[in-house]
Amino acid sequence: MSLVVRDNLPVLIVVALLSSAYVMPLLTKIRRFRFAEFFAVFMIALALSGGIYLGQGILNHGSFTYAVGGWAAPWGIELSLDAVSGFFLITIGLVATPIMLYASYDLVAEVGSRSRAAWFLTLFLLLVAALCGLAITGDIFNIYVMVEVATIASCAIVSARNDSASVAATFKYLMLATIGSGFVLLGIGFLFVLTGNLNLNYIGQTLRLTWQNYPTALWVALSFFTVGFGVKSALFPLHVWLPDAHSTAISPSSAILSSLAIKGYIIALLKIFYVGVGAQIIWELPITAILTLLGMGAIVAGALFALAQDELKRRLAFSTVSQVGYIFLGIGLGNIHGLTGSFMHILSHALTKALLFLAAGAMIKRTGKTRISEMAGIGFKMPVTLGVFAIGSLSMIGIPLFSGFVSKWQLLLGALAKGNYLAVLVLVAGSLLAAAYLLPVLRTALFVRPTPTPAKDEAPSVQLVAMVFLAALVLVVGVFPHQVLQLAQKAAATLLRWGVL
Amino acid sequence: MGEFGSRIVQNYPYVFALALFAIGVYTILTHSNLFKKVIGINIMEGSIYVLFIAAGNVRGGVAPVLDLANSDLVYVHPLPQALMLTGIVVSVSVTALSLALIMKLYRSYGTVDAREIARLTRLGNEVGADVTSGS
Amino acid sequence: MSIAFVIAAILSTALGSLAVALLSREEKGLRNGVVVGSALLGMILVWHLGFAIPSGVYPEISLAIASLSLKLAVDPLGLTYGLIASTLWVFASVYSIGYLHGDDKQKQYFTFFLLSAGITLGLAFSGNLFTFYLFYELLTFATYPLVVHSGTKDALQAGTKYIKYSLVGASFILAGIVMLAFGTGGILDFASLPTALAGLPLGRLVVIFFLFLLGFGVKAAIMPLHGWLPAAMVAPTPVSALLHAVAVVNAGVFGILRTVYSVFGADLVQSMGVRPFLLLICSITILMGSLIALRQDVLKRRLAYSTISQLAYILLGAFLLHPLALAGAILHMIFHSTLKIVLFFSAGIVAEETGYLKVSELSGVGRVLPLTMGSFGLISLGMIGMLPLSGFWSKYYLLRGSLVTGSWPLLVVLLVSGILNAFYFIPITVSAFSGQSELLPRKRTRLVWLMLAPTLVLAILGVVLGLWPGLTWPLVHAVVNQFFIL
Repeated sequence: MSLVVRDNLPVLIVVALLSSAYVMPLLTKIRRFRFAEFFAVFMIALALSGGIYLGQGILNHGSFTYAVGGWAAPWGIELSLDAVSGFFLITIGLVATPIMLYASYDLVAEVGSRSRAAWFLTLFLLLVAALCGLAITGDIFNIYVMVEVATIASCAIVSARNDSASVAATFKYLMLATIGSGFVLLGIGFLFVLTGNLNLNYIGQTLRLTWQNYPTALWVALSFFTVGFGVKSALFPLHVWLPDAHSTAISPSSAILSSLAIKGYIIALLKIFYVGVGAQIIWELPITAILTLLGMGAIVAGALFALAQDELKRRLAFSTVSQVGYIFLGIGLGNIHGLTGSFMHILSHALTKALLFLAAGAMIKRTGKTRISEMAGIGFKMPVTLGVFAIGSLSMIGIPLFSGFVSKWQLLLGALAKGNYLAVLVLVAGSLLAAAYLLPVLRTALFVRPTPTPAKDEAPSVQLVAMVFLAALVLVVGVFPHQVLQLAQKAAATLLRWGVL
Repeated sequence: MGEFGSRIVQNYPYVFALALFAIGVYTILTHSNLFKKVIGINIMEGSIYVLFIAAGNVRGGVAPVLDLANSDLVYVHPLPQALMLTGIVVSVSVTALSLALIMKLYRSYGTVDAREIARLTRLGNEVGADVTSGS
Repeated sequence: MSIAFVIAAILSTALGSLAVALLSREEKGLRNGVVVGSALLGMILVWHLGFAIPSGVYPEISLAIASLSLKLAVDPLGLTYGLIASTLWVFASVYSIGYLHGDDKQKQYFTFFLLSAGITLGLAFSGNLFTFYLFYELLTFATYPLVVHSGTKDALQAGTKYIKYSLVGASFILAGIVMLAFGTGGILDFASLPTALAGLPLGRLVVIFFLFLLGFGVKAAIMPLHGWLPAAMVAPTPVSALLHAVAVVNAGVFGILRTVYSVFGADLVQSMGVRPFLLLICSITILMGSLIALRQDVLKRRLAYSTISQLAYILLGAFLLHPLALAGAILHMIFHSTLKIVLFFSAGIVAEETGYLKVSELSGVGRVLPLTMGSFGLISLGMIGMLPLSGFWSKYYLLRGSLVTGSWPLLVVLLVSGILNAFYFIPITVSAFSGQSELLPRKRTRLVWLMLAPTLVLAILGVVLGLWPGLTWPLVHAVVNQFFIL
C-alpha cells in the first residue's frame, strides 16, 4: 500500500465511499447496471479491508488521531482512530458487504426502475459512508453532520420502493428522527457553551476540571443526548417509528437499517458519553441508572411486542427494539464487561439481524407470504434459507457457539459485577422471550408439513451466498471470538480510559 | 426578584431558545397536518440557531471580519455562526425531503392529514391489498 | 488410551448424522447401515474408554472457545452415563429402523437421532460446566424434531411444551453458571470446582445450587417440573424409549449428580443444610409419580409417570450424600434405563402390531404377542424391584443408604412406592395373558423382528444383571471412589 494511501486511510475510507455514492447514477448511465452494483459491493468490501487493516493496527500499536486537511485540533476536525472506531468499521464492512451483494440480485425489479435503483445505490453508499464517518470522527459537530447524513439516507432508503405504506412510514421516521437530531444538536450546543470546544478529547479535558460548577447544565445536556440518540436508535419507548419503517422497507433496506444504521447512533452516544464527558462524570450522574432501566424495559417490552406480531418482518423489527435494549443495558452498566458486551452485541446483533431480515426477505419473495402463520412448510421449499434463519434465531436466543452467546455472557458478567440481579433476570428472560418469538417461525416452517410436500424452490444463489456468509460469520464469532472480543474489550477499555489492557 | 429569576433574565436568549424548541417539538408531535409538522421542524431548528448564535455573542462585539487597522475591536465568536450555516443547510435538506414525501403521500392518499393516512394504511393492511394503488 | 477416543465417539455419531442428512431420501439401505454403524462405532469407542476404569487414569482435553474453555474429560460418572446412552442407542437405532419402516420422514428422524447421540456423548464427557451447559442446551434443540416427528397438532403442542420447559430450565442453569464463574473468577472445571467454591458466601451458594436444581430438575422431571414428560409421549416410541426413559431424562439426573458431587461436593451440600428439603421433594415425586401412574390408562403415559417416579429414586440416592446411597443411585441409573427401555419397546410393538395404546385394551394381547408381553411382564417385575431382576439391587442399596444415614421415613417411601409399582404393573401382564382376546388379526409388520430382537436382548440383559450384579461393580465402585474417600 502506498504511503499516501496508508497515511490518509481513515479519511480515504469515508471520502471514497462518499464519492462513489455520487457517481452511481452516472455509472449506471454509462456502464451496465450490474457493473454499478458490483462497484458498490467492491467499494464496501474495500472499506471493510481498510477497516480490518486499521483495526489490526489499533490492536497492535494503539490508537492514533488524524487531523483532517492538516488542521490540528482544536481548530481542525480531528479523526480519532481507536479501538471503538476499528471495531465499528469492521462491523460495518462485515455486514454491509453481504447486504449489498444480496440486494444486487434483483434491485431494479425490487425498487421499480433503473434510475431508482441507481439512487438506491447512492443512498446505500451514503449511509455506509456516514456510519464509517461516525466510527472515526472525534469531533462533536462532525458527529452531528454524519448523524444527519445517515438519517436522511436511511429515511430515503426506507421508501426505496415507492409504495404508499413505506412513504408514510418514512415520513413518520423523518419527523421523529428530526426531533432526535434537534435534541442532539441542542446537547451539542450545551456542551459547546460549557466547554468552548467541539473536539471530544478537549471537551473531556475541560469537563473533568470544571463540571462540578454546572452539574445541572451537564445533566440537561446528557438527557438531550439520551433522548436524541434514543429516538434515532429506537430505544424503547422512543421506538415508535421503527416497526413501520423497518417492516415496510425492502429487505436489504430493513437489513442495513436494523443491523447498522441504529448502531451508528449508539456509537455516537458512546463517544459523547465516555470520550466527551468521561466515565467518572457519567457515573456521578443518574444517567447510567436511567439507561440501565430503559435498556431493561426495552428488552422486555420489545420482545413482548414482537410476540404479538404475526407479520414476519414486523416481528423482526420489534425484535430489534428488544435487542437494542441489550446494548443500552450494557452502556448503563458501564463497567468493562458491560461495555464489552454492548460492543459484542452491536456486532452480533448486526450480523444476526441482517441475516434474519435477508432470509425473511427471500422467504417472502419466493412465496409471497408475509405472515408467519401462512409459512407452513417453507422449510421444505427453501431448506438453506431456513437453515440460516435457524442459525440466526439460535444466535439471537443466545445459545452457546453462536455469536449472541458471547455478548450475552459479557453482559451477564457486567450485571453481576454491578450487583444488579434484576438485570441478570432481564437478560435471561430476554433470551427466553427471543426464543418465544423466533422459534415458532422455525416450527411452522420446518415441522408443519403441508400436503403435498412443496417442491424445492431455493432463493437465488447470489442471495444464498450473502446469507451463508453472514451465517458463517455468526458461527465464527460464536466459536472463535478471541480477535473480535479482544478488540471489543479494548474498545471498552478505551471508553473507560484504562491505560492498557 | 430572587437569584433564580435574575439568572433567568441574564440568560434570556437560552430560555427563549428552549421555549421555541418546545413549541417546535409540540407542533411536530401534535399537529396531524403534515405541513404544520414541517413548520414545526423549522421552528425547532430555528431555536437551535438562536441558542448557538447567542452562545457566540459578545456584548458590544462586531461581526468577525478582521480589521487590522482597528486593533481594539471586540469580535463575536465566529465558530457558532459557521456551525449554524451547516445547521441551516441540514434543515433545508430535511425540509426538502419532507416536502417531497408529502407530495408523494398526497398523490397516493389524497390527503395531508397524518391520522387519515394512518387509518388508510391500517385499512390497507387489514384488507391485505394496497387500497391506494391506481392513484 | 487417549482423549481421541472421546472425540472419535462424539464425531462418529455426529458425522453419521451429517451423512444421513446428505444422503438422498431414497437410499434407505445405506442410511440404515450408516445409522446402526455409527451408533455401534460410538458404543465401541465408549466401551473402550470404559475398560480403562481399573487403571484410574483418565484423559482430558480443553480448547478455548467462545471466551470460555471447552473441555472434554473422562471420569467414572461421565462414563456411566456415556456407557448407558451409547449402548442403548445401538438397540434403539435397530428398533427405530423397524418401527419407522414405511415412514416418509425417516431421513429427518435419523439425522436428529444420531445428532442427539453425539450431543449426549458430549454431555457425558463434558469436563466443565460451560461445556456441560452447551451440550445440555443443544440436546434440547436436537431432540425437538424427534418429539414433533409426526407433525400432528398434538405433537407440535407437546414439542412446544418441551422446548418451553427446557429453555426456561437452561436459563436457570446459565444464570447459575454465570454467578459461579463470577464468584470463582472463571473457574468452571469439574475437577477444581468444589475447592474453588470454598471461599464463597454460603447464601449465594445456596442460590446457585437451587438455580442448578431448578434447571436440571426440568429434564430430570422432578415434580412439579415434570409437565413436559407425559406430554412428550406423543413422540414415536423409540424416541420415548430412548430419550424419555434414558438419554434426556438421565441428562437431567446426570446434571444434578454433577451439581451435587462435581460442582459443590458432598461436604458443601451437607453444610448448606438443604438435604432435608431435597429428600422431601424426591419423596413427593416418587410417591406422586407412582400414584398418578396408577390412574393412567394410556400405557405410554403410565410408563412416563413411572419414569418420573423412578428418576426420583436416583436423585434420592444422590441427595443422601452417602457412599452406599450413591452406589444405589448409580446402579439405579444403569438398571432403570436398561429396564424402562424394554417396557417402552414392548409398548411400541403392541401399538404397532395391534393399534392398542390403552391399558384397558390390552387384555388378551399376551396370547397374540407372547414374546413381547412376556418381556414386558418380566421386566416390570424388575421395576417393582423383585429378584432375579436387576432392579432389586439398586433398590437394595438405596434402602441400605437410607438406613445407614438414619433416614427412616425414606424406607417407608421406598416400600410404599414399590407396592404401588406392583399395583400398576402386574395387572397389565396378568390381563394380557389371561383376559379374553377380541383382537383383530395381528398386523405382522414386515420388520417386526427388528423391534423384537433388541427388546428380547435387553430383557435378557435385565435378568443377567439381576443374577450377576457384580458385573457393574467396577463402574459403581469407581464413581463412589471418585467422590468419597473410602
